[in-house]
Amino acid sequence: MYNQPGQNQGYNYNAYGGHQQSMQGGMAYGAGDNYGSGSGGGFTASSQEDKKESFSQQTLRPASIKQLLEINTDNPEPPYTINGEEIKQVTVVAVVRDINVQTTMTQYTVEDGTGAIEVKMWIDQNSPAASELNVPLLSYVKITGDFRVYSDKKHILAHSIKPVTDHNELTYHGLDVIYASLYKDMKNSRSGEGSYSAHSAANTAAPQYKGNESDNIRRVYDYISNAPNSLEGVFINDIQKNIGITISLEQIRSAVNLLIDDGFVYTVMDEDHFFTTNAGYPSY
Amino acid sequence: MEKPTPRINSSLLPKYVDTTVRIVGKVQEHRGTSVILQASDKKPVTVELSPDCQIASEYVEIIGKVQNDLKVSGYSSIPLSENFDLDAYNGLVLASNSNPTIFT
Repeated sequence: MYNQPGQNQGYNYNAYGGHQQSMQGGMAYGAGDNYGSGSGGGFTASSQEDKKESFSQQTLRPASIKQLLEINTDNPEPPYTINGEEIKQVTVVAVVRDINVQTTMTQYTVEDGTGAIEVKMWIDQNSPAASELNVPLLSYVKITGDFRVYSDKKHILAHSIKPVTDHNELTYHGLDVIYASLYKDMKNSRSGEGSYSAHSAANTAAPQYKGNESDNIRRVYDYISNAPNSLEGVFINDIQKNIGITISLEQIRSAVNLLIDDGFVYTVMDEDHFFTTNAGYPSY
Repeated sequence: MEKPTPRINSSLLPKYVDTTVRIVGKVQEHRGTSVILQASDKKPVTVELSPDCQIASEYVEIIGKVQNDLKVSGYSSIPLSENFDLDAYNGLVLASNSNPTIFT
């Protein structure tokens, strides 16, 4: 086994997801430990497109209250944007100025030095005790929730309100807000890599094989990676014929097995046909 | 609380005379109804206390108005945790003052 610097299970998952989609779910393959403990080696039918969509909705944007109050809600329906970037969930760190407990929800007014906004949180009817949050007046809390507009009034529907116990959180959040706001400009000036919600954009990058073992492995990998698109995979005999070096089938197979073990190559229609996980797979 | 309260340090006081600001510091000395804080830029600032603005912790955030004599007339105070990193916070003060559209 050789090292796999930079290998990231999440990357593999996405790359495989793409194949799964392009192969129309027609392949089964023996998932080893390489495919990430969380996924259990199973690749369900969820398409990459679904995934992207849900990622964009799952963004968690650190914001100042001023930014929330400035959100254009002329069209009261979501999506809402800050600096042109779609937001859904937001976090703010702010001081609680008012608490108003009602039957079904608790309403807070919070303020962070940039503005004040209402925060609503449903009371959990199943365990009302748990909803009696220990939110003290005149202290900092961290709020995570959805930005909402109701009869022209902007508010946060909170999922979580937690008292800040380490106030370096104030500093961190403030800098995070600045970073999130400037990131888009920084990104544009670097001709756009990813977005602030890095897990949607960045993870679509395919893994780069960085094994530095033998030349054979590298060549086999390159050949499979650059082979013309096909549904059935790259045939082992074609590798031998076209790779440009003298190599036995056994050598190829041992190289491929290493690549498979490390998640860079997988078998397609049988044990003799392969794809790399970042192959230029058909785009239908 | 409708108007934004910029986060400042001692050096920025002259820029914010007659403005309500937030200033974080470490308590240095109590002087009757005033307290001297070391602000995040390590320079002193005098805060005049009021019934709603008392200080009972080592690190504190004051919301108050900057007077002509550059003392801060405190409106309210928020105690901060003991591990507060003033240097890091000063970074936020500087960064937020150079990106005013985000905060004020």
